[in-house]
Amino acid sequence: MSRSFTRWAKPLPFFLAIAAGPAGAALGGALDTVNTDEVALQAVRRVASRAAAHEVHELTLASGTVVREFVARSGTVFAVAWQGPFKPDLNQLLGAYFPRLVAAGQMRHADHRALAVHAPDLVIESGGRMRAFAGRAYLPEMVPATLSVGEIR
Amino acid sequence: MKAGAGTTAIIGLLCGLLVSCGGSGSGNNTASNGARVTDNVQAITVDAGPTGLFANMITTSVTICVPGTTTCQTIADVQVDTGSSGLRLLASAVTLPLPTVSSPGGIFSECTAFADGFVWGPLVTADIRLAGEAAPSMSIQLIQDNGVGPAVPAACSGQGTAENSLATLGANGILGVGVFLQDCGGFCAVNTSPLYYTCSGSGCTQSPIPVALQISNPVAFFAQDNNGVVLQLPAVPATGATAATGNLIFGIGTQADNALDAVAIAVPDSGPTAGAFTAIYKGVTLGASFIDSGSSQFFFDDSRIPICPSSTPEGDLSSFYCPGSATALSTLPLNITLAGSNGAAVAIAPNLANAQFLFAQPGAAALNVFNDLGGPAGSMLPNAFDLGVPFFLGQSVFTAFEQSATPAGNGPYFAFQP
Repeated sequence: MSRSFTRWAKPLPFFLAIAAGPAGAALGGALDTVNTDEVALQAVRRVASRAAAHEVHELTLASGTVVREFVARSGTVFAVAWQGPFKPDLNQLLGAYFPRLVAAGQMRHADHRALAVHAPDLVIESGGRMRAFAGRAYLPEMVPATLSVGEIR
Repeated sequence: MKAGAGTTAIIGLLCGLLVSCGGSGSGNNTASNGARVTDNVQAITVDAGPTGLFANMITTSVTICVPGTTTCQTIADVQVDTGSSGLRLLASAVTLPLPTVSSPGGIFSECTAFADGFVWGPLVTADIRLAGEAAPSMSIQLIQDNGVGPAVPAACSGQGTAENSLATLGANGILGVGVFLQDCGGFCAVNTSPLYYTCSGSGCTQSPIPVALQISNPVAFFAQDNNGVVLQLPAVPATGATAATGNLIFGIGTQADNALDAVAIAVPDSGPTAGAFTAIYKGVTLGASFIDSGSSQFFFDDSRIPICPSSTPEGDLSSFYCPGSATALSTLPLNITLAGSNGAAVAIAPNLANAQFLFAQPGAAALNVFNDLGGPAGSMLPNAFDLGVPFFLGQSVFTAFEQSATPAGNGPYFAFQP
């Protein structure tokens, strides 16, 4: 077999990638998209923490999964993180960035337990197994200097 | 890798010589004392899977039958996964006419999430046969790779990449023999969830589903040998192997071939750390750790171990660790203590090798099985040391099911001989 870790499937056609993003999704969107997510994901929301340059809105989904959305002072959602028994609707949470997750899943990778996108403008990390999922996505260029990316979880 | 490895290899060799070990569907055989015993040993293979693209993939063949009949079909190259529960098969691989699982709201379908995507398709009923064992009238998922059936609901496609194909799934299906009896359990019996839908002419909607209809670990529904499984695999060289063959043994402490000569690491069956134990690695306590035949490598975090380059002749290797030399074999022992909710604590020291060396060494193109492959867990597997397929090589690993009595008490637990 070839050990080369290269593309094994064709990427999404561009028009499909555009069509996949729902209106009002969170990552890269404005604070009010957190409201959209709250409704779309049927979540209970609270402000989990406030820091100088950002605040964290925590959505507890009916499925038991917890989603945390990181909002900059500018009002832009620069990161989302999730953990719980079910994966959340990542199309809803990642919005315009979701097609890049889909494309990564079509590239060759090791197994069904972990998938990552590491690009200068976007990091997505999705992992776990049945009944235990976790992950995060963030826009590195928009993370406030006062926040370590290790705290995005 | 460890003292028990040689013994396991010898057992594997004996099983290769004796008709009573391995094979599928061979029915009953006779024990040395003349008693009839059930053939509880299913042959398994570790290689790159049917696509040739996945290292450390454990597969077996699974026989399904139209319920209550002898109209059966054996499907090869199904992944053996202790990290999920229930049987899922590519619809294109199934030629039997199998009845669908329905409610007044329509036909039950499932959106099964994996970390890297999802599979979608309807529930059907089949008898499942493995070795001489049988689980009657089980719900299984037909992964809809043949264009037949309702469209993927929007909330399901929101789970990521559709893996409804051999190329993306990497196998003809997944046989989940994990610690949980069902893929969901009680929650999905009374709540809607992202997992189960009913589909009718008007589309698909998320729906509760009775526990008895949920996709379930078939081994738990055998008439005997139903409290757990043992995966028994030979050791491989640190440089890797092309393939390895071993046994999936049904039952724990139910027959001579599945005696529990091992230490049980108990895990909770509910709550935020369900199915997980504590691993202590370099002084860090990792409370969400697990043993998993569906993980192709060790996943853990160690900022002192270099991550492989993202640009190499072998492709992007940044999901692997690269300690030591990329041009000669060197191995790094990982000293880990595993602690169960039953108070058991076991020290292990599997090796980690440089993945770039493993994939680039002379003859690497023919190597698919590695006992020393690892990569960072990061935020994907937080607070976890994931002991994947490398951990299974060279020993017997027991997975005891929840709500099931065994010689070491009720499952769930993992066990092995340290």
